[in-house]
Amino acid sequence: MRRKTIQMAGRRWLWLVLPLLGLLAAGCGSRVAPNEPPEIVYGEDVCDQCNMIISDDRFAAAAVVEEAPGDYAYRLFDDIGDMLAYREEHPDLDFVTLWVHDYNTREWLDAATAAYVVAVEIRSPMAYGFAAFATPEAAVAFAQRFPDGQVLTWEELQQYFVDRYR
Amino acid sequence: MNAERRGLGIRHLLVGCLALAGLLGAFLAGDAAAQPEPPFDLQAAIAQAPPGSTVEVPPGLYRGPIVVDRPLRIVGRQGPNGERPIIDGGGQGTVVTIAADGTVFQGFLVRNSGIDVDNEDGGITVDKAVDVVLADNRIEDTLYGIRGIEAHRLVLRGNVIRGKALPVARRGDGIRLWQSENCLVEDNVVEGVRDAIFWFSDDTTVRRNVFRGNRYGVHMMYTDGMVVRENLTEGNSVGIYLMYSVNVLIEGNTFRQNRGPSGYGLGLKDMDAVTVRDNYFFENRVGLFFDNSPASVNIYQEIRRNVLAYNDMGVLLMPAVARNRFAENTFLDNLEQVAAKGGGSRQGDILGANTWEGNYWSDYVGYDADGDGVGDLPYRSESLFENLIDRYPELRLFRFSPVQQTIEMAARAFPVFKPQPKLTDPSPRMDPLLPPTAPLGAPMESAMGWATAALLALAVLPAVALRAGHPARPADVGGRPRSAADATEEPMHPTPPPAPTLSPDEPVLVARRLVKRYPQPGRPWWSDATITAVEDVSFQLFPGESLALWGANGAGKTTVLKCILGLLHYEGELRLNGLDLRRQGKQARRFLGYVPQELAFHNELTVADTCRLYARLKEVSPARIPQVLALVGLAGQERKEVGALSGGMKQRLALALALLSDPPVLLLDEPTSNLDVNARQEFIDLLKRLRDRGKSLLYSSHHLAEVTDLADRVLVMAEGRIVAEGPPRTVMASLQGASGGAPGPGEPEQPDGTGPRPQEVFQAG
Repeated sequence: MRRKTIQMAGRRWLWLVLPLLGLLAAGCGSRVAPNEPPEIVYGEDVCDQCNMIISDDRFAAAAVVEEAPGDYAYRLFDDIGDMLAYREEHPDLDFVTLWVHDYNTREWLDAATAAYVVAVEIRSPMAYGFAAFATPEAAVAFAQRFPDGQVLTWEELQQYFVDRYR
Repeated sequence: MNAERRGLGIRHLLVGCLALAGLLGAFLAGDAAAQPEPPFDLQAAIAQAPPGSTVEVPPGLYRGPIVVDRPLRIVGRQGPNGERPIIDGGGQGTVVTIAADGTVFQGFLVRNSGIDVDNEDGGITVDKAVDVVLADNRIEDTLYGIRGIEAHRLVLRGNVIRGKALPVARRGDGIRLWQSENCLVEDNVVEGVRDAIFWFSDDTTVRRNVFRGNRYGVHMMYTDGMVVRENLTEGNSVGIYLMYSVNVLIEGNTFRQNRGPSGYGLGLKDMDAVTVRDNYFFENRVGLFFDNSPASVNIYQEIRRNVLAYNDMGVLLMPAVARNRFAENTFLDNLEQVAAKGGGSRQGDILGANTWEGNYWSDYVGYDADGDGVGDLPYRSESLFENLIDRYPELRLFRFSPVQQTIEMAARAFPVFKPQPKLTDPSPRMDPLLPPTAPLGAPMESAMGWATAALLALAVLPAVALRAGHPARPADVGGRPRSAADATEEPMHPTPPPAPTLSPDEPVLVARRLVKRYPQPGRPWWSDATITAVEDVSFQLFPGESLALWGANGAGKTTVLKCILGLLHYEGELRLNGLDLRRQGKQARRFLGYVPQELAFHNELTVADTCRLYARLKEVSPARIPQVLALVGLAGQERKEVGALSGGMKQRLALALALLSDPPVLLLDEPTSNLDVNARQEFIDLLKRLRDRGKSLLYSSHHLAEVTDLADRVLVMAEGRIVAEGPPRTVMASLQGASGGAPGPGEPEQPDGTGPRPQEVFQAG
């Protein structure tokens, strides 16, 4: 003869509440400045568009988005093209600043001020073939290495992206 | 005299100095002295050879860069001690460049490239040349390993590629195929590099390679029609990541311990028409990851017959992933079997947009009353705590804590908290399904990897064998031409880890207040009514002891064994060798061997092939096989097909398989129930010898002879409880007194060997 049993409940409800309170407190701690680029941990941080690990600082990019009034957050990308793709796919987000790396010096550049080279043979992490430079002269010099190398401004690069990938 | 002595001293001093100088010179010369440059100008020989001819290169050190600009067969000739010709790049540029169609380049050590990332310095570059074969080369200390740029029909076979010792983010790719279609990449080993990349390289086949210790074992993008088969990806950040491609087959691969950032075994991003079947996923952060795959609305994908075991998450789906069919997969002890990222309360919608049918779930709590191998109740994944984790990943910190227990209890007690099922499998398998071949051939370096394979074998063997009276079906054995015997030809772990040393005073197995409840059949949805199969069972098993669980059918004996084997969830505590079987089950169960009641061998395999198959699963050296066969009295039977063995010999074979890894504890479920009287006594004698050698035995039985002849102690079970305990003679005597009719341990048994039915005894209990 087997017995029926009913699971009984009810002990220490506090445990249910404590972790949630902890999470709430932890969530209030982070602050991102809208005009500063992030520090990417190469080999560990992951691209917000493709989920791949970011490893190559020549092509890594970042965006500052305003998730709520006065509340900023970073989005990290392994390829300038992935940043543009992410922006296209998230029209609801307010993109405050976009950052790219100078191909030669690996320094952060404001994406709007950089000059760009586009070439099929630039094997960037997601194969978009975009490279950024601090000056148009540096971009022109680099573009000469490729038969199909084009030098573009930021506006021209965005249009190139839309024409080719959207 | 003095002058003579002075002269001798000066000569000795000079000789000593010369000898020292010689030694110093040899030391400074290093490799160059060991590998003198031969009087053979490799670049000149290439330039002078007629197209289509063979250039045979003797061992020696050759300076790079070497450029092959005409179709030749360039073969490195090995020296008497196996040394091969070395081409050294001197730390500059790419070492070998092949620019001629149809070139064969074989048998070299290529090393020491430059480190210019922009120029992609590497070992061998095939630059716009087709039908090139690179075989049996070693490529070491190069930024990139092998690059194929517009190198259609490139064959990479049997190469070993090891990158420069750089941080993973600064390494180059071990293999990089770019716009190179119809390539074949087989039997290579790629270690310590960034990725193996296949981009814009349609219809490429990647098979039987090892990708170990890299960032991405394989990264494939814009490559339609790719076949990835029987590879091992181990210890990478991500095993294989597939993107933006169509019609890809992933079959028979092993994904193990890919636990870096992301930590996917296999990831699919914007893929279409991918088939994932017969793969093993062990101990990854996430076994299978899906992001917008399939990408097209009219495409369905099939994920079939894979084993996902001991991963943090078995399957992780991004929001909006739909139209994947998960069938006949084995979900075994993943911390979270299936999850939808960020799904929160929408998890059910996301997971429900995919189909789950006929999978094995190790956390299934139903039953199979009609014995058809399919659970009579649907599997429902419904955990409030997991739902919260999916929404707030930080909550993982509280896994296994009282927080988790409290939340789950609240969900059960109060329907308002009860989560919607994340997914429902209407026909869950009762047993795991082992894919046709277990691609575990490459040696595993880590003990954890060994333990995983051993545990998988341990988990799968009993579950398969517990299919009472159901012989192995063809689908279970395998539908691919490759036989299990073929599979055993691959190398195995050279030496299994030693069995632990147990103190004779310490119990090796402890059960405390073990309880197992099942949902009551036919209960309404709001009810938590259960039936209790095992209630408040506590016992200890000591080293070298033989302990019998004695009772009628349905008394709960097998349920206790299943809890120990990790096949059932339970309440209470089970400890094996000091390890908690619930939390540390993986580590603990490596100390267990199991002999099931019903055996489901592949009858067409020989005894030797069967042993090799299970040795390979457990990663035990094949040298152990003759030892265990001799131990169980099957020496000389190696060539016999299992189907031709008698029942007693099959039982001995099952025991041999359980003993392969030399576990200190053996679990046996009704070990002689299918044997005739003579075979039973022989098997009991064999078990006695094992006990006398120090093995601890825990076995279930309803046969009197098994208890009286073999047990040091007996636990009598009835209706899920222990009703008597002690040495067999004492227990039998007390039961005899209580019932007035039960036999003493020395009384003769019935002709069928079972003795009086124990139910008579239990009525008194």
